[in-house]
Formats: sequence, structure tokens, C-alpha cells
Amino acid sequence: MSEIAVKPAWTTRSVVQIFNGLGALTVFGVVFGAYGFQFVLLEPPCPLCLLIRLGMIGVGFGLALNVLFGPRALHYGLALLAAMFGALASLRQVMLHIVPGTGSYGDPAFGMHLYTWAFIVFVTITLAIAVVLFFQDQFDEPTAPPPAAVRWMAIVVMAAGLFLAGANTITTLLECGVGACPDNPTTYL
Amino acid sequence: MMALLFLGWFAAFVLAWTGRRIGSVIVALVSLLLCMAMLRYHMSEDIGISL
Repeated sequence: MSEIAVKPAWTTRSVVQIFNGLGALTVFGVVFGAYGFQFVLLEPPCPLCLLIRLGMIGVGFGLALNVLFGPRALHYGLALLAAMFGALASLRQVMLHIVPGTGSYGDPAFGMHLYTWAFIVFVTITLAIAVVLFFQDQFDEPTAPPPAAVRWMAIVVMAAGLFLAGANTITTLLECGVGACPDNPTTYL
Repeated sequence: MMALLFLGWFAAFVLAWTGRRIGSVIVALVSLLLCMAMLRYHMSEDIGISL
């Protein structure tokens, strides 16, 4: 008796995996944008800006796990914890500059500073995860292999995350060394 | 110190891509905890390290 080959199929699980991948690429895109500010506009990131980047990478990691291994509550929990951390760090920086006359850090983009945009991104990601969690079917055991698009998405998000985490390790080491980062950096070591 | 935090996330990505899911989650949670500690450090009353 010959086995019937199971063809890849689009299920709730695979669609949610694609959405997770798009979410991860969004937060990684924000960190890529921050790199643009760092190297094109020559604005070295402050310590809180680096902590916000860590929050973005953390959210992207949780979502990337959903793409790579399939949706799990553990992965969503990790992404939510990272989003809460990032929102706290960005809100801290907003609060430091909220009083009129206390200045700001860096140039604004589309009318708001990067830390304000970061807070909006973290809140939006949290809401998006809450909506995606409505779909219980995503946690069912897969009955067919995922479509090729899901496998490619996993490769893209993991490569992007690896690159950003590795590149930030090097550039942060060049900026801060092994000690505490300067509060108002203007140059590299 | 901040570079080490990025290195922690880098390690988590490497572990995940090599199939060590639980190991990567543990490393990620430890990294997140250290990030919280770093944030607490930069929330000091000393405005010099609070930016």
C-alpha cells in the first residue's frame, strides 16, 4: 500500500505564521531605520535608545520563533514581555523630555522623535498580538507541511534578526566599550 | 555592558536557528531580565546617566 503524499496547505496556522513574520520584519525595519539615523545622519544612539532597540529585537525574536517553530503561547508571552520592556524604556525617554523647554534627543522623523514612534510601535504590536490570539486554530497540530512561503519567511526573519543583533553588538561595543554607555554620545571609541 | 545584552539576543537567535527552541527561550528571558536591570540603572536620579 503506497503512502499518500501530503501537500503543503494554507491553514490558520500558516497564515498566522506569515503575519508573525510581517510583524517581526516591521520591528526589525524600525531598528534598520535607527541605523540610518546613526550612520547617515551621524547621530550615535543614547543608552535609552539602545534599550529601545533591545526591546524591538526581543519582540522580533518572539515573533520569529512563531514563524520558525509554529505559534506557541510561550513565544507570544516572550514577545509581549519584550514589548512591555520596550514601551517602558521609550516612555521613560518621552517623560524625560515632556516638560516644555527640556529639549529632546535627536532629530524628529515625520513630526515625532524616534522614542515617541517606538512607544507607538510597542503599543501597536501588543494590540496586534492580542488580536492574533483570538484565533485558537493556530495552536492545532499541523496536518500538512507549511507552504514554501512560510519556510522562506522563517529564513528571512531569522537572518534579519541575527544580522541586527550581531551588528548592534559590534557598533555598541565601538560606542560604549565594555563599561556604561555615555549619556550624550557624540563619537565612537 | 550594553553590547553584552545584544550578544545575548544574538546567542538566542543562533540557538533558535539551530533548533534549540527551549534553550533559546531561556537565553532570551535571561537577556530580557538583564535589559530590565540596565533600564533600572539608567532610570537613576542622577540625570547624567538617565538619558
